[in-house]
Amino acid sequence: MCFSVEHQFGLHRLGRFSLRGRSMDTPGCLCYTRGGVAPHLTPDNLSTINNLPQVAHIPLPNVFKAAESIELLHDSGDTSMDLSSFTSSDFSSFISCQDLGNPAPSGFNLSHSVAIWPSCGKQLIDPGWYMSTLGRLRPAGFDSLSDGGTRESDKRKRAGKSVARTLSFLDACLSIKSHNADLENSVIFGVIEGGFYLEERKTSAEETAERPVDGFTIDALGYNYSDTTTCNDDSNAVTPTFRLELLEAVTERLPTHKPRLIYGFGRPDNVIDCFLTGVDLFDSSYPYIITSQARALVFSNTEIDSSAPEIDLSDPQYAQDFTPLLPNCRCLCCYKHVTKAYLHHLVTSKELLASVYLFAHNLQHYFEFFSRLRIAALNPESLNKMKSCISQQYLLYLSETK
Amino acid sequence: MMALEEKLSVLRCQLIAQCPTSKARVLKVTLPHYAVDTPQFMPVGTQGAMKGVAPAQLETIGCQIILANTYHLGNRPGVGVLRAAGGLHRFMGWSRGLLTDSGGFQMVSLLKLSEVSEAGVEFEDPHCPGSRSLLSPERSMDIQSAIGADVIMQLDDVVHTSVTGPRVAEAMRRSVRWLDRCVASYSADRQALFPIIQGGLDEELRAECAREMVARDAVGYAIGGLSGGEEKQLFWRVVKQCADLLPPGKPRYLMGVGYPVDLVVCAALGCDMFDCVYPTRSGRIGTALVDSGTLDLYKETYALDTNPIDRDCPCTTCRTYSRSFIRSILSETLSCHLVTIHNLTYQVRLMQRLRSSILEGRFPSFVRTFMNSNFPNNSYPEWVVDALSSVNITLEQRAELFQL
Repeated sequence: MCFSVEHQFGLHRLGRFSLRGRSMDTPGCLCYTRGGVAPHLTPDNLSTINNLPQVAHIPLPNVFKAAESIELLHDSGDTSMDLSSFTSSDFSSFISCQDLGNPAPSGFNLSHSVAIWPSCGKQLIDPGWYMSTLGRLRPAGFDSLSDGGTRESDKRKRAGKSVARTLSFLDACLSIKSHNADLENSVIFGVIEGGFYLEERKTSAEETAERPVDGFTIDALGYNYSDTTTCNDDSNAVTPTFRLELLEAVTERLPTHKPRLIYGFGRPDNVIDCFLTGVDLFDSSYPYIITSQARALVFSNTEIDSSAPEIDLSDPQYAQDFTPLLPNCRCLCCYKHVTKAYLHHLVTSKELLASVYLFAHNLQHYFEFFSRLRIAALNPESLNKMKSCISQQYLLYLSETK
Repeated sequence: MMALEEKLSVLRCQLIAQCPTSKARVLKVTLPHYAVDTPQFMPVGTQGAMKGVAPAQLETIGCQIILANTYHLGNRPGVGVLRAAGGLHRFMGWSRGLLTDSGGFQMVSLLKLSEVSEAGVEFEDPHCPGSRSLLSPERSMDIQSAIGADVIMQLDDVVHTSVTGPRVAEAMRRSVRWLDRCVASYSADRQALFPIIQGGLDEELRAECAREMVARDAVGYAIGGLSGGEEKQLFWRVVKQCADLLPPGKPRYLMGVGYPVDLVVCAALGCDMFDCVYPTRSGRIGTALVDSGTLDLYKETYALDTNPIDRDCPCTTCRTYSRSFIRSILSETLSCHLVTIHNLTYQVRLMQRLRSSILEGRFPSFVRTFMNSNFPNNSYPEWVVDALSSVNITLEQRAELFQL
């Protein structure tokens, strides 16, 4: 079993997730990767990050070239090569179909195949192709193939299709897996779809829970940073509250002893909300996306002060600000006294080093947040305090930036 | 003219070893921020950053001194921010040696509307169309003072090596006059000012320039106006001539050089300091440096190659990743950092190996071995053979071994 519950408090819980000898405490996030390794950070820089999760999140679209090379190596006789050995990775790997760091356009999935977007251009993949590729990569865990192409404004019919197709893909993947020796000790997660419709989400959760899966991925419900509110077909405004209602309807239909992973809820206030609704694992594309926008995470886990939880280093106000991003941060950027002024210079000069420094800081701060959350979650009072602290900072920030 | 003691506090040069065969030598050049071993390669951190590589990583690689560009830094972040930061060392977090160029060359080569007059380089600021600004020797000294590098370059009047006629002599003589203006206005107690020998490819003009500039008794000299694509047979002759005319007890900086082969040859000719964007620029396009030349990692053949770039290289890239893996992530910016770190390590180690060979009295043999790896089957370029033989290093002609 890849997951054990350590403490269950109502809906939320503390747990431990293990894959092929690598473990992490939950609530926790998988380590977002590109090409099989953390983006921006060379091995020496990556080793400076504390609390680095031991399970890598591998989006299939960005390991396409790696998969091609591994296939060539297998054809030339080197069948021992798999994704971990190819990328010289110490982590165990969990593969998903879509890349949250490079959100894909929707509307291209078909009834028997799913569109993914590697750098070489759109590919339509079906369970057969997906599973045989996974057989070569031999990840420690993976999502079943799923149709997550549902947008807020899509009609109910589309949401229904996403559920039906995904269940059909799941059954196909399970069947192929049982006959593929290369995937014998990989875990498979069933993916919960259903767009923004309550009944569809319930159906997806109940049906998926009946299959012999090792965990659940809740897909296509989240967003990483936009708070725009649109309406679904039933004229329900897809507000943050509504999303959480849909999430709760899902988690209360899933068995407690299996882990729940969610995609697209990376902003810290959203993380806490999802955690309280019974989610154990998160993706960590959020710090990657923030970095690509030249922003730094500077929220406090404990104090509410007037400063923003995230800052934009391209803002000219930082041109002569010779203070670090955060005073007590031990990331390779702050610890070496890299100042906001210098980061501003790097950002405006379009220097690659800007992303190296910002990402190292954002990752460190993000993983630290999860570590604090796990500690705060040990009792309701500290958890409430942390939730209130973080959500207030973001509430203020979002109302100001509108 | 400042007192000798003052100048020595800014740059002290010790001869550590001299190759008895060629003109190569090992110096220890002590600067305010760091003691630099030469021959030494200076990577280029144009905008006050090495592209994608942090100062701590440069230290691990063994970089002792890097170059930054006055033109770019003068524009952004500008003199105000640099002064408020306390200089570029503090601004970027680099504690070792720093050298800045004068800004003149960049201006002339990058700006469409620049004109050289006796006053300086007149240009139109690209951010303020219609304006006219002047980069004078005094202004260049002022910007370089705000940057605060250990070694600064005079503003010179550079002409491309393809230019002929009276312009070449005019530029050289103006450079001498501008040198005097730089000397009169730089921070002599904090920075070492290098004159730049000009004169195009003309032997007499070069000799005149060297004579004039050596008479100014600087703490080090640069050889400029080369590495612009001129014919290599002309290039090395000018380098050798200038190196021979410069005082032996002072460092000689050959600007804009270069490729590994050029570094080895010019070290043999007596040059001590070098700079080039080559290892960093090629690192960003997936071209890796090795003793036998370069590897273009985009090539299909590397898809199956599970070796590191270089088995003998101690850099983090070579200790962790294979050629095949790096090839698979060439679309990611991480690949730029990985190959750049390797290439910088390669160049720095090449210089270390070269210095060791001089210290151990086997420099000619080092050169022969290096040239063999780079040019298999005697395919040495003629200019390399001629340049090395001018300093008594003969390359192996393998065919001779088979003559009966």
